[in-house]
Amino acid sequence: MNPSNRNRVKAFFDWVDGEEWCAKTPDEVVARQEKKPAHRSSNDLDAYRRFRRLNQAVGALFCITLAVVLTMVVVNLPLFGDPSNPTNNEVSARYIERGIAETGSANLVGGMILSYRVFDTFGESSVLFLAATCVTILLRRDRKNTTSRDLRELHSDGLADRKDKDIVLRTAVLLLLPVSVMVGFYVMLFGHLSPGGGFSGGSILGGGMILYSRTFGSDSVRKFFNEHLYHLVKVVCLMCYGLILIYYVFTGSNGLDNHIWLGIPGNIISSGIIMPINVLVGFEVACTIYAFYALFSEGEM
Amino acid sequence: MSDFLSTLWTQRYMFTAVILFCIGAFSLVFNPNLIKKLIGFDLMDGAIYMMLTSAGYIEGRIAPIVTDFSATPSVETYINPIPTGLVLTGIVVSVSVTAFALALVVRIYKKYHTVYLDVIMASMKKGVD
Amino acid sequence: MAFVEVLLLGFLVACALTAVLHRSTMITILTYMGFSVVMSVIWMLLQAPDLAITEAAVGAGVSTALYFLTLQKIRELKESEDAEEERRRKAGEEGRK
Repeated sequence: MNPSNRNRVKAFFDWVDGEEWCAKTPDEVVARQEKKPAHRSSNDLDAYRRFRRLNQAVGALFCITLAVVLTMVVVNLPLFGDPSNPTNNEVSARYIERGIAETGSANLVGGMILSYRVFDTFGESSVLFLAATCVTILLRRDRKNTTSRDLRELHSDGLADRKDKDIVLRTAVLLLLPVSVMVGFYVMLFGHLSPGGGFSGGSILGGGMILYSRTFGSDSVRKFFNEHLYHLVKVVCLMCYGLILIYYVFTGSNGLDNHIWLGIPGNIISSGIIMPINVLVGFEVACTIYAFYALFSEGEM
Repeated sequence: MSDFLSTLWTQRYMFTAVILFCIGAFSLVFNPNLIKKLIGFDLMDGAIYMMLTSAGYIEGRIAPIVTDFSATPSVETYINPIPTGLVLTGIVVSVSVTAFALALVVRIYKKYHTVYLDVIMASMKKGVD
Repeated sequence: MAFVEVLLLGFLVACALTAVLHRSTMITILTYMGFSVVMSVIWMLLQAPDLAITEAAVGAGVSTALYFLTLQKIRELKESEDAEEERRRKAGEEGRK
């Protein structure tokens, strides 16, 4: 690779990292980044503040007009709680009457979103994955973009290894955390028999991990959940969900037989593929929620 | 007039959803603080979810969890399960969007040292880099 | 029953108004947390237990925690810059003495 190509490749990677990629000396780059915006244009601010009262009055008037128009619409919509609404048609009748025979799950809503409308749920998991990736891109600290000033700030406020010395909090968390984790696993595993499912159970698990990390320091969570495990769980769960979905859609749509054993409704091992999907989605959601917390508070996991 | 009021009372959930939506829209558009804008966004989301779920409720029927496995479930005992499924997806998407928007706010603060949009716009016009 | 519904819906609107109109950002986030908890109870009234569990875990738990973390990062950077200016000012005064 001749030198100009190498420079272009380096420029591309610098651009991806958000650094200055046009030709500048490193001193100029650092000086420009460290410069604080000294004074702002006062003319624009004054002009805005002069019109702020009028702006908010017009805004309030606009919102009141919107509320009046929408209320007129709401009064003419089908009434609340009416069994003869147009929304209660043969689709919901089919889901209720043949739901437990075709999906095997006692929780009709959970069975519906994981077998009849499984595409929507896969899109939702993808949105969660995408949000975690975008937050990682924006907030992750690595060697290249951490200045010594950032490190000083983190250590001076104790945010890097946050530990709470309060005895009441530590005792309460020691008593509360096992119950919370157990409830999270229960809601995740029993998503086809009782209300809940993958998302609720995963959120409860993620919340439990956040609590543990806040009280006992992030090193305590890093013992069993580090960055490699996070990436592995996130990618493997979504990929397995995608493969199950491909199999299900290609054999189960259009009335084809998909050969997944449904079991006796009411047992824990029943409803075919719904319980594994709940477990996969729950673990992915728990990892994502803990990743949000870790990236916001420290910038790394 | 009393007819209008009694219909409004019957539609109380949708009416509250309309009010919350308008409050959220006011905060999203006319408040210069970025965090208040995001709170307004979340209020609008909550209003829409309440409107969808109240469209699925039927008077006198219970939640769609089957407890009696001997008989086929009849339509007369359960509410409409479809809007509940839609809102479940919506709640998760709402928290994803909130997390991403808050990460953007943190990065904006690092660059401009303020969260007030009018100051940020003035700084941008001035060409502060 | 109607009284309970009126109470809950009125509390929702009051929380929303407080969140939007108050000056302080911390009060906004706390009232938004109360808004989420009352929404969770309303989902139970509308016979949707899946939504109640999810809203309680996600809205009143994770979302509010993220808002507080953002607030901490914003104030923290502000405080540390002010602290640096104080230090520089004090060092300048002592140098001049």
